[in-house]
Amino acid sequence: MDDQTVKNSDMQTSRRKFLKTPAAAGAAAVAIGAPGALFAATQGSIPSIRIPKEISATLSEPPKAGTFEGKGMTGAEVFAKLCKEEELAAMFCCPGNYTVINAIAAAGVPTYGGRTEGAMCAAADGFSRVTGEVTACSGTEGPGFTHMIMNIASANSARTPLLVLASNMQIAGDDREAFIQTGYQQPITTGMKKYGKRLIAPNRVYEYGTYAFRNLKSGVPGPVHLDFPGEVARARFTDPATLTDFYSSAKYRTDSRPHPSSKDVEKAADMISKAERPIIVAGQGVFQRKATDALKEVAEKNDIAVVTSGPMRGHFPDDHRLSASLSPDGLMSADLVVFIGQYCMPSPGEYRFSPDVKTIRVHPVQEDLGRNWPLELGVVSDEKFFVEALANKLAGKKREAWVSELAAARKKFETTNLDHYQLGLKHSQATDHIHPAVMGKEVHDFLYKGDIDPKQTVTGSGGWTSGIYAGRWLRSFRPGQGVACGYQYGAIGPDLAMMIGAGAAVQRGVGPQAPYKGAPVLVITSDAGIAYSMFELDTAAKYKIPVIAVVYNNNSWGMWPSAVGSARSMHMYLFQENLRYDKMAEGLGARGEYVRTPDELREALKRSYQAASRETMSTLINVQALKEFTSGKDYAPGIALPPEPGVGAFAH
Amino acid sequence: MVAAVLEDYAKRGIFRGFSQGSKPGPGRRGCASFKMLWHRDRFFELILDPKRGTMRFPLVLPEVPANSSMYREFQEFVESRHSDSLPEHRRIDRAKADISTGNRQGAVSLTATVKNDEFEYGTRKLINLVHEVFLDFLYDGRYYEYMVEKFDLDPDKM
Repeated sequence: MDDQTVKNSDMQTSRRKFLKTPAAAGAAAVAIGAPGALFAATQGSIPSIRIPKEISATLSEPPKAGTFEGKGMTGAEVFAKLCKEEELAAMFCCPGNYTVINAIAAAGVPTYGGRTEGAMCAAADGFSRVTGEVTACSGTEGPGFTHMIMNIASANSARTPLLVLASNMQIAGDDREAFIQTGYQQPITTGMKKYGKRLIAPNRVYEYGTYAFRNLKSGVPGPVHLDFPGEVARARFTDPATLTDFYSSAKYRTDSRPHPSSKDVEKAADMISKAERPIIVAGQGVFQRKATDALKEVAEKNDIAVVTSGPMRGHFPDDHRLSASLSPDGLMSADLVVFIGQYCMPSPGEYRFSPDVKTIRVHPVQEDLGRNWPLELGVVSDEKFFVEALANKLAGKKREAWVSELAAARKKFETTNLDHYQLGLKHSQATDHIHPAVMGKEVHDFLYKGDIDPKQTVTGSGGWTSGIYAGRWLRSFRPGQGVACGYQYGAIGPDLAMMIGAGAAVQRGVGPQAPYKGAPVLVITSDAGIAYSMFELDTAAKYKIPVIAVVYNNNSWGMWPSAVGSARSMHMYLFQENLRYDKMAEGLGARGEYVRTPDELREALKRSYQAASRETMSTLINVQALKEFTSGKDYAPGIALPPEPGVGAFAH
Repeated sequence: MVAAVLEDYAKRGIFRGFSQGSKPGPGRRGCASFKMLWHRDRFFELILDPKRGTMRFPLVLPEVPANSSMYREFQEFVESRHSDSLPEHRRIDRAKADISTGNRQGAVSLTATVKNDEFEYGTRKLINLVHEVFLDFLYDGRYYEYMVEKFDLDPDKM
């Protein structure tokens, strides 16, 4: 199908292990075919889609970092050297900021080039969300940079350690509107970054790089934005002595983290012991600080319920007997809540806890304790150190009544989901279109009830109607298995790109993805959302990142009910009906599937997963629906807002 | 007692704003009123009648016709909170307090009638119930459009 050869045979071998349906495989492989070939067949002599040889050739070249010898290093190369030493996990970009992105690629940092800067920013965010690693995105000055804005803001809301890079013309041209693309970048990212700097002194390029990584790797993470004028990126250095603060990470930042005081641990243990129904809200800090095993130990020791929150899911398994992530009705019974690593704090009334609940919050930064949610006890501590200290202090305890109540609440939640599914199935059969509850259930059964290891597939979801329904059905059984694509910022559209970034992390087997290296990833998104990043199917194909995009196509923006009863308004909320996103995907080198019945969806998922597993081929499944399914009046159950915290939650 | 309990909720951030409007006195037929800024950034008024042993939120949900299925389901929801099938810590114990619904021209009210001077218990149960109405009852998909229409719900204001 193309000129590129996949050289990683280990990856292909391991992929075969993921799918345990060898009998169906042969026939399916024939049926799948290559989209390029299919496309060519309908287009006569028009050449097939193919991946140019230069892509695999340049990807397999050895790193070539700059040196101070000869012509010396450019400012970009000095910065790239730092990125490599700091183990920058990946960079996603569009061409622009050429000197910098070329230097980072040459230094050996895994790099990806895509179709829009905004989508590449989301991809970098997605890679980080499923690994916890620092990633980067880059774009050209002006337009490329501003295209990233929505997804920089999204990463900021998600506290993603994202390094945002952009070129920025020349200092010599400041205020003169010299040529094109001029603009002041730093004011634009105000309010959506942890730290930012326009580099104006060439000899401080390394020094400001250390500012960046100190912020990215310390405390609560967040985006860091550096912009590089030409004088800095292209400066030449033949003598390291001319670079300020040119020393190793051991000198410019520390891995030291705050330990909790013994008094605080004692008080927390006492409060937990006295509580009848304690619950831990395990925020993203638990994932970022790799405290998942320690958390499980402390929860099991004292029968403490755990519900997860944050932009990624799985840092406490959904199927654990102490998990309350599927037990929204049980949350209100908790008499003590312990927030650990909750970086984005809700206010009381946003989380489904009783007004009488007592609260402990553990956070690495003192200034944030007490914000939004009044506390009985605030503990300044690294998340992992606190959980370990608590496990040492707490006595063993069984809370059978509490565990039974959680189990009953979980059963109620699952029964409600099944009731929704039955209603949705009725609507699907009556209309010959797929209801979102049916879509969610079919994907759920395919990923978790069939032959695929339920822990294998990383999933993400977004969109309004699609995201809300999908959230109730997607599960996470291990760290980094789930992504809430619209988390907190509520951006519609980064979903596919974000999951391509997550897919790149799985393809490389980074961090928690190592056991599932090369497995497909799946995203459920909407027709409104897919428009923002569908062209990145080209990027997925180019880098052989296998993604299955389930697109809920209801011919409209999900908030169309807002136009009901408003004169001259509805047209703004609607698209042409029956658009064929599957056909568009085929035109981008991916597979396309079009489904209108549950049976068709089930079969499409099988074919798509096989194509992803065996051919590293991505698929877009166009799930044709009706906008009216959003309305509970016409098609119950309508939009059941996701309870927070827990599965499906996309805030805090 | 009621004022102290409510003030405690305010201090603990459950209400974003809180004030006592009037205190029991002869001119007010012995009633006291409290105002709190609470769910969906709306003001709620609570009227305490110590003599009758009642606490009433005159307006919990607006524009719910008395003959609508939503009101019927609301009544069932409130009734279910008294059920023996609920764990004790979630149940409203009728031996201590009873919470009933009312509907005046679409304005849905909740009234707690306490027994044996169980004002603290009744206050806490009433506050918990309103909390559950907004975080549980209204989260059902059947009321999504009600939330959009009456509370101006959109993703920007969730």
